[in-house]
Amino acid sequence: MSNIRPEEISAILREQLAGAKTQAELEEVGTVLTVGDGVARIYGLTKAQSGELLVFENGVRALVLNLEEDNVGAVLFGDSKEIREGDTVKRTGQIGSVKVGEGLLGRVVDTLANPIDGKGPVSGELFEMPLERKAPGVIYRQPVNEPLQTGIKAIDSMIPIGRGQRELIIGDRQTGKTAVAIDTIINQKEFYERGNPVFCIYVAIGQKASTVANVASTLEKAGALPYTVIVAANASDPAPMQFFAPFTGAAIGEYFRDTGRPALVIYDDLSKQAVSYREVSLLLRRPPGREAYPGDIFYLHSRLLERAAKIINDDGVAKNMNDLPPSLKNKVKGGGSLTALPIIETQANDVSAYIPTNVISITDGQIFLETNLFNSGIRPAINVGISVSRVGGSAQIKSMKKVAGTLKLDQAQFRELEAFAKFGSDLDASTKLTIERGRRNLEILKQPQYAPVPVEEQVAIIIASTKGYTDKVAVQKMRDFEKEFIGLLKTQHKDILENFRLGKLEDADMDTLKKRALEIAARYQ
Amino acid sequence: MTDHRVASRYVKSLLGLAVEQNALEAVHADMVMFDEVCDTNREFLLMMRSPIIKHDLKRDMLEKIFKKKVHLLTWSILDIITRKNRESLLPAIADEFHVAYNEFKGIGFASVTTAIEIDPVVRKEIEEIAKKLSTRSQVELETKVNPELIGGFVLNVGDRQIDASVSSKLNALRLTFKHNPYQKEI
Repeated sequence: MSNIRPEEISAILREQLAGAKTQAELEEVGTVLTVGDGVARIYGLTKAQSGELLVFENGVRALVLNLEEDNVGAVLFGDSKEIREGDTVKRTGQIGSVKVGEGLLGRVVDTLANPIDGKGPVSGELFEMPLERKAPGVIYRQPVNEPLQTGIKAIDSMIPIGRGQRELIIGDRQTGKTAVAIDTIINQKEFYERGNPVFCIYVAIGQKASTVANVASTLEKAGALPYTVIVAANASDPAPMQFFAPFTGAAIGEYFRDTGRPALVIYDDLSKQAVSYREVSLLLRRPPGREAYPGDIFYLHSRLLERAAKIINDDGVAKNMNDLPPSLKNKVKGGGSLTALPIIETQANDVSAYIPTNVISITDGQIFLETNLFNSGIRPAINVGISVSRVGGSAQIKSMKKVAGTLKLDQAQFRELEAFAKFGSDLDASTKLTIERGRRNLEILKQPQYAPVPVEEQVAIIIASTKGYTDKVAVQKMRDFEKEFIGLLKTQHKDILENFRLGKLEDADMDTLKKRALEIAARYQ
Repeated sequence: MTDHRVASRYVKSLLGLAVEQNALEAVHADMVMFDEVCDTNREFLLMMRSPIIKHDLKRDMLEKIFKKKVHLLTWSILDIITRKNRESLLPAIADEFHVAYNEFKGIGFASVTTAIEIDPVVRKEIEEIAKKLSTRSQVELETKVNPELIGGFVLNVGDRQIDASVSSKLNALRLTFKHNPYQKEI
């Protein structure tokens, strides 16, 4: 070994720590012609690509969206106040991308995946993931076949969501759309604790910073933050940050998806994103269409939601996936999935407006939340009658699929007959029974916020109700019955619950369940 | 900048015509002269742009100033553009013509900004670099002095730039410390 002089080391260290480039590089530059409203027009940059990141002298970044005859239109990811006409803009040569890794879990980041929660820099290895990326092709996908448990009884039983599915959550303001999403994140805790977590990404678009902080603290309290990333583009952030935030969420989700793990991304909400995209498009002078949205608003949402996918469970095939970012090349594994839960806020329950119809047609089903249900105490305020899941049926565990069939049928009949019940009196016995059972079913489908129910408990209580073991229980006592019944099963019949969880419905279990249910029901008449 | 788009249209035809009539050098010299007049004479520029002064009055003035001093072709473009009420474009046309002339002749354009005046030896060296960058055999090098650079130089060749100034280094250093990940932003 030859001697290493200490001066040599310190010189190298100093150079590294300085972080500044000492060598001048050949750069491509342009000049700002006009700037304002978060949009800059830049002269020069003749070789700039669409979607490329630019950087201004003061460190603000921008993304090229328009390439025109003699200028380029770029949207700013920062304050436009500090940028002046005549400033130079540099090309970075890289397409808009974010750095993603395990270190992002438990963090709150902005659209460019910079942490904004004050917990220091993102640790661990980071991979460059492009914001805009083509969705995986047909050969790299497989049909949805695994459930994504939301922990909400009404959803898991009647509108089941599969991993890799895109299920729209739609409703007016204050109907509990975000609550459904947050509950779903919290419910993934059991999978996290069991060692195969579903990584969750919550993208908040155009919300109040205080709301985002609330969500973060709720998740932290529930112990759901360690497997969750929050992407926040607040109402005060520039419009480009807001409309790119879902793409950041998708890029983070794709990292987990392509490394063979399940991920869940929630876009809260896409109607606000559409509004900010409209703002940017109009400022870039793109021609407006219906409701002044640009012509490619449908494409904006479809290419975003198309990135949700269940990847084929075959490493060899998955390795050749289209448009893989180079940084991820050696890490690709099959079997991952990205489930998307976009949220759309309607105005006065109008689902036939432009954006809602667009997103309804893109997604594989929708969950309708309604104000009048919410106000009549049915919470979560899901209208099961018109909510559907177009692929979820094949993604239910066997036990749930069996018992949910009856529930769905019961509730459909109940809804039809409910109107008659209002006139009271003379109903025949079977009609009466349907209505009474429907009321009890309705009661068990209610559940408080932040209290997701594991699927095995859902199965147990649905069996009890649909098989008629609770027919004698008073409607207003259903909740107490449920509490005691589940408590009993959890303490004395763990094996039954475990069987349910594994999808088994055995006769012996059913008999015990019946006995226990009738015992408890007798006390709640 | 919209001016330049319109101007380049006029310049294209003017250049074509000048080449056809073998008057390229003369017209170029005229345009450089016109540009210089615009640069040095603010009143003239304001007069050309003023919407209050009548167009034929402007034409008369242009005739008195330029007609006898410039090539016939140059005068005809000044004339026709003024008569079409677009005389405010003339400075842009003169500018654009110079660019188009350089393009036509294969002359590159480069500008170098330094903190202090540069000596001819360094200038020569920079010119060589500029030639290499622009892949042209000839380069027109403009020199600017800007004490704010503190030291080093900035070389611009077309869209490309070599920034070896002290101020940009300091700026880069400042930016690396700007984002504090330990500061809460929500």
